[in-house]
Amino acid sequence: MEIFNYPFFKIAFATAFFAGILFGVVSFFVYSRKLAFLGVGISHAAFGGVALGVFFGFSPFFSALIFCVLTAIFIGKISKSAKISVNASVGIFFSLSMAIGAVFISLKRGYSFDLQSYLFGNILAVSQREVFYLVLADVLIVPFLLFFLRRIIYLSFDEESARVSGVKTDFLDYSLLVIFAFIVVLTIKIIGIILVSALVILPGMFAVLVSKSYKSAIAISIVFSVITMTGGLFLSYIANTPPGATITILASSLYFIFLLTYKSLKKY
Amino acid sequence: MMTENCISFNNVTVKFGSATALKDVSMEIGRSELVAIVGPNGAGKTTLLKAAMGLIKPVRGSIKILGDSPAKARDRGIFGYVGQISLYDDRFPLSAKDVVALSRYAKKKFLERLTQKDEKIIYDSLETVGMSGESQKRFGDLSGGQRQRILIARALAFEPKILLLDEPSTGLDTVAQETFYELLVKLKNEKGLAIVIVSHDIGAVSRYVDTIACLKEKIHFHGKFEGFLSDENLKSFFGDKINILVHDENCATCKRKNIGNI
Ligand SMILES: Nc1ncnc2c1ncn2[C@@H]1O[C@H](COP(=O)(O)OP(=O)(O)OP(=O)(O)O)[C@@H](O)[C@H]1O
Ligand SMILES: [Mg+2]
Repeated sequence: MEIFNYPFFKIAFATAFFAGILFGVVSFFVYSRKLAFLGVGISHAAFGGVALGVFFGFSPFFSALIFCVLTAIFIGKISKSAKISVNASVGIFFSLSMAIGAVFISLKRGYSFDLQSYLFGNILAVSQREVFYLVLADVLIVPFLLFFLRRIIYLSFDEESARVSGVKTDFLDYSLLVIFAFIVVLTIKIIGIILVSALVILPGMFAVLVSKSYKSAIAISIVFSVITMTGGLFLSYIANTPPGATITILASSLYFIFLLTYKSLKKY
Repeated sequence: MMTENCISFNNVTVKFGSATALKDVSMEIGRSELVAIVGPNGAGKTTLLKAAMGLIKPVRGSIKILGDSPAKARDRGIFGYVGQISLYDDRFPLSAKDVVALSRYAKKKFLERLTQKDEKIIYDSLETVGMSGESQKRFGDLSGGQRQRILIARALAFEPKILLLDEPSTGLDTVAQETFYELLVKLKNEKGLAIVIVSHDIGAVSRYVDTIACLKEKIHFHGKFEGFLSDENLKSFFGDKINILVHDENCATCKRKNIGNI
């Protein structure tokens, strides 16, 4: 295909592929541990982190990373103390950090914030270094999650019994939150918060919809994620539409088509 | 009996905020002892089991499990537990067998695979609860009683030293209940397990248990069932019909406490 003659497209394709693997694996655990809303929350919280970085003159990437990891840990602490649910605390932090972001951005005079790229990212402007980070994340995070697979599943399925059986539930929960925050921040720059929130949720939900065992669920989740990421990228090229938004629409439509047909198929 | 203490509560007080759930509870449960804990709703039975496993920390007193702290005992893989309330995600992609296998995996070092021996333990546990035929079904597709059987099988497959069961017969049919109680007696005799079973069905459990403990914030009695029947104080406390423990409207002293004034 002649499109691969462009180096930027090669890089975009590699990005879609490696980010696809990452999202595929993680979103299964997001589904299991019911962290879907947390994904939305953290990706929006990143805005606060970026703004603080811009205001104080740090690298927005690292300030967003630290901000999101701290937010994730704090949300974990609050929900462990069982006074309010994860969803409620995410709701609070989500709006709070957006508000903090808006205030700090407005205080930084002469700075115009590129909302468009923050919302949808720009997969066509990814640098080689960023692809390298993604590959590194794949290499570190995917084995970690598979390493603890059964324990995380036990924890997700029945937290109390898992703890009673000696599973280190707190360690695993915080690890998941930190990994999660890390992935969100790493990928926001590339594909934007809208797509991040969609892709940490959809592949796992799709996989659970169509599979009976957790092993096949993980495999299907990865395949779904990689196919929608790379396929969406091609579609966006053909239709001349923004890649991030196209990928999101593709993934969501696939999910809903299966949701509707799968149900009716089962009936007969 | 009671030569070796498996569970030892020493003046344990548990509070939730300002509300006292357990007050000065002291009790010893030994190896090869099958004890039933009875008491009205809100008496603190579930709290007692959770405190034994270290899921709830007492404000006073100490708890020892085979000489260790409850947390240490959890790490040592001492407890098999079937909880009272279980809410599961019906769509979770786990077969009945997968659920039982989880407790084998919990015993493994990382990346260790299940051995033939593990597979056999899983199969035997499923067989014991009469679910080996259903083991490939998705857990979420099972009936309530079948799920309960699987959760019991999971606790058994863990090969615990102490089995804590919070109203485990919920949802089991009569035949399954009898079989289950007989199994408990067998486990106790053959493997020396200490078994604590919370039950409202005092009539059913009394035939199988060694001792009975009556709990309502405090332990009001812990001893042989016959002693329990002849204990005059106890009768006046719980009323003179034993089935009063099953809590009915005639029960004056066993009134349901206000659970959760939210
Ligand atoms: N997490 C909690 N927060 C606040 N209060 C609690 C909590 N758990 C239990 N309690 C209170 O502690 C008391 C004992 O509760 P527990 O669940 O141990 O009763 P139980 O004997 O198991 O009752 P049941 O027969 O209904 O299962 C009750 O008054 C209850 O309201
Ligand atoms: Mg209870």
